[in-house]
Amino acid sequence: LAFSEKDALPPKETACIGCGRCAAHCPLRLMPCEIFNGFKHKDYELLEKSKVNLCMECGCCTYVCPAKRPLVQVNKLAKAALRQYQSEKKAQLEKRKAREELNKEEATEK
Amino acid sequence: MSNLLVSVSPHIRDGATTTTIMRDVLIALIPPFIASVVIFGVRALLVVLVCVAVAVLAEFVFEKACKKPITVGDLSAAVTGVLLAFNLPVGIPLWQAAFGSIVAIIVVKQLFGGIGQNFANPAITARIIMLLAFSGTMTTWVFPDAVSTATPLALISGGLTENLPPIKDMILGLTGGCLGETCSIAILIGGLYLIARRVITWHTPVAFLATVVILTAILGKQPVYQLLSGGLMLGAFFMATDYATTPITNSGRLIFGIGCGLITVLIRVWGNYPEGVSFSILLMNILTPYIDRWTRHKPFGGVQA
Repeated sequence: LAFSEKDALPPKETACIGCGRCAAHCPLRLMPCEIFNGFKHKDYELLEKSKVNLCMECGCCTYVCPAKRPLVQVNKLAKAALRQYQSEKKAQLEKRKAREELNKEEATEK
Repeated sequence: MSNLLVSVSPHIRDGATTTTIMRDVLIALIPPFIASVVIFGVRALLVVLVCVAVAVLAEFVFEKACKKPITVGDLSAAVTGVLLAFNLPVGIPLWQAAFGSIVAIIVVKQLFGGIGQNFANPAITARIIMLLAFSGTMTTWVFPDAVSTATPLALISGGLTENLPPIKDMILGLTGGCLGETCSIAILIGGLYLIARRVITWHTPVAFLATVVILTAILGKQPVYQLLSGGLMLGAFFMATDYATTPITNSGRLIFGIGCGLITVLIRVWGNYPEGVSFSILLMNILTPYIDRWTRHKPFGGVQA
């Protein structure tokens, strides 16, 4: 798609005023305003809780946002960040499990 | 070709911005404003002008001093100024009105991070601070004919119900009270405009007003007068619907409105102050983060076993 200069430039982003329009319009009933904060503060537990991985990236939140915040773009980044966080957590968990099993085997051998 | 910009959808945005929302609120405040000038005379205009000018100036100076981006253009400071002026009696000394504006903008709004970050409604908090600091001038209700009158709420809590003005005067606002709060019909027009423009949802005002009417009817405390007097209408439509300081979700807004109504009735019926709307909104503002946490949306397909 090609737009005129006025439409093509991303509008200036202003502070979230907490109007709740993003949450009211999300077809999946996610809360993009919360996801935005979770991503900004790298709060992966909040991202997990707000189920950002369900986002289908329709962009309704970004369309309605009066503060012109890039909500769907952040959701994309948040999904990637969450995936990385979860796989790291999983790897850590497996490593620990393997170590425990190794310890157990050593103990039984003795 | 080098200046082609690749971006993610959506490429077209809704026309509503923070500025257009605040402009709508200002438009909705015009009917009560006209009513206040008609009822209380030119001095009402002067008080509103001082409050708005000082609020906008305070925001500009603070942001300039802190080298923050100037957000005066989003009109939110102007809205705060008008709302604060509507919460003051007409005889307020202008320096006190200016002081209130400075408190609202700098202490309550900017020190907490500016627009969207404040946890309490600036106009309400400034009004309460002024009520405590200048209780004399803040509770002197002068009518256009320069006769001091008691407010209907003070009459009710004093048990002088036979002195109450007729309901017609209550609707038109020909009673003692703050600038913008007496003319119920003008506030209703403004509030309905905001709902029609979808700036606010019906949840908070309806829950707030219904709770007050139902509870005062049960307690036998003149529900019609309770509805039309004091800052209830102004508070329910313009203060309890402030975005930053109230819950995000509609179910949260219902809880917020009911809570405001409960506290208002508690203070009006059993408290020492005849009026409790501002305190109730401030208290519920403080509870807002918790309401938000309780009323978080459950995403579709997000239920875990």
